[in-house]
Amino acid sequence: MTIRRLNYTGCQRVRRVDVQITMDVDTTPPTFLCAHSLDHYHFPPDAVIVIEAQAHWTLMRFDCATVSSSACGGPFQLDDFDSPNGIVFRLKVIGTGAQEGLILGEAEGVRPAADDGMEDARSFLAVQPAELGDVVWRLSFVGTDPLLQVNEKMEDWRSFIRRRDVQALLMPEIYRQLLREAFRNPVDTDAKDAWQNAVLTMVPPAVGRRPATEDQEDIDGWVDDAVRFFAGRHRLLRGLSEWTRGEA
Amino acid sequence: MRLECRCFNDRGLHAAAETLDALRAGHDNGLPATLISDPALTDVVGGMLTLPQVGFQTRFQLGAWLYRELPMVVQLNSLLRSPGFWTWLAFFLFPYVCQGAEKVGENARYIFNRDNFRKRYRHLAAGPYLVFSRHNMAPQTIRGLLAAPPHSPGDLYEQFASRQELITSAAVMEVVNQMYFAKDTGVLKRGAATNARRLAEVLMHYDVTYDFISIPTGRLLSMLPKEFHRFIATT
Repeated sequence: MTIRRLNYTGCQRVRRVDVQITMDVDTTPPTFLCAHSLDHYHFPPDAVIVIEAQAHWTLMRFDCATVSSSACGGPFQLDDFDSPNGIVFRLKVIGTGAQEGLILGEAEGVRPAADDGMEDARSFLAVQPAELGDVVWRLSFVGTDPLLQVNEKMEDWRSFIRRRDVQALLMPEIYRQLLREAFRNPVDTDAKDAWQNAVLTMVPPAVGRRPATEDQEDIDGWVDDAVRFFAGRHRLLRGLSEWTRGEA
Repeated sequence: MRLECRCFNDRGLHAAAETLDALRAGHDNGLPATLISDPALTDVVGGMLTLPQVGFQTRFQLGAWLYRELPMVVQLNSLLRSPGFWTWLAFFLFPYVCQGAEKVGENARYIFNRDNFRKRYRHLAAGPYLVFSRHNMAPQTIRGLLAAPPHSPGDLYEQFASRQELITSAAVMEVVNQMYFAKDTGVLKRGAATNARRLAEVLMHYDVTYDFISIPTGRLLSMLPKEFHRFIATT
């Protein structure tokens, strides 16, 4: 089930904790600052650092500095984006001279730290409003990390997804889809920042040993157990019942 | 044709989709005369837009025309992601982007959906504009990619425009142009589309290791395996 990648060029995986993105969403357009701690990777001092900001099809690229300069510059303006929601960042360290164009190091799926410090900055599931026709929500696996898209026509989609009844209905299905996708598109087990590994390690040992085969029935059974455990731990049925009684 | 630049409203977008359905079903032979000018379906968003009498032989010509004309008649920044605007534009350009009612293609070709990133690049007006806009500093490098007629994007475009990593790279565009576009005849070389399908796959493997925005064209060309040499040799 696991995939081992050959790394002939010695590209280093830069850990997300070594890249700090701070976004200011109160400005128009939104801006961001980047700080990094790359000393212990021993990149060539003249290697170039670039930051790519991406939300689905929109991609902006910012040339920051060389490895030898400690400051990244900025603030950088995110003026190509409709909304600051769901923007994910990637830091690349790119070689120069004989290594021109070669990626020497990379941190993918970096999310901005929340201003209030309450949100887990490394949470792998971003939420974004999107044009979905008459569909209320969907989970997208197109980018580096999964994305929960909520119909933009809903006036207050943030409140909507925080409602206990909605969470009771949504969360088990989202969790199920994440787990299935993690099996369908596995990554190197060493990739600790990869969302697939994060979601699989969220499953407690009480659910049972993760299936080591590609047998779909085994996987579906294990995923079912994990979802059942998840719903129980978060008391989703009770939450829905209480909400329904409260509404009535 | 000369018309005030407009944008479909929600009713207009609905009417546009219904019109395409009617054309496909053979209920209509052409667009309703007032579809793109009806005030109930459209809002004026800019000045007068005039189609050139000679038309467009290639998507490159169309992209260049859009890139040149649109900023002169509309505030493009506010309309770049507007489904109503690009959809209206496709219907304004309908004689060029659709060769008869029986050849109406999928909706994504005419109705712009900014969130449908799997098909957004297929839009027959937004597609060439966005590519031209992206590579406006070196437009000669996208002649091959946009060599097809406005109504038929072709497989070469599909292979590269569907992959953001490739379509945004100046080096990749230059490689594609050098390999597959015959400058003397102004058309794609024989076998280009088939070979380009493989090239896109190979480049996507390289994308893991190389940064396509900063890689030099010569380096990219020199890395390509033997199966591409017959095209490289004739550049």
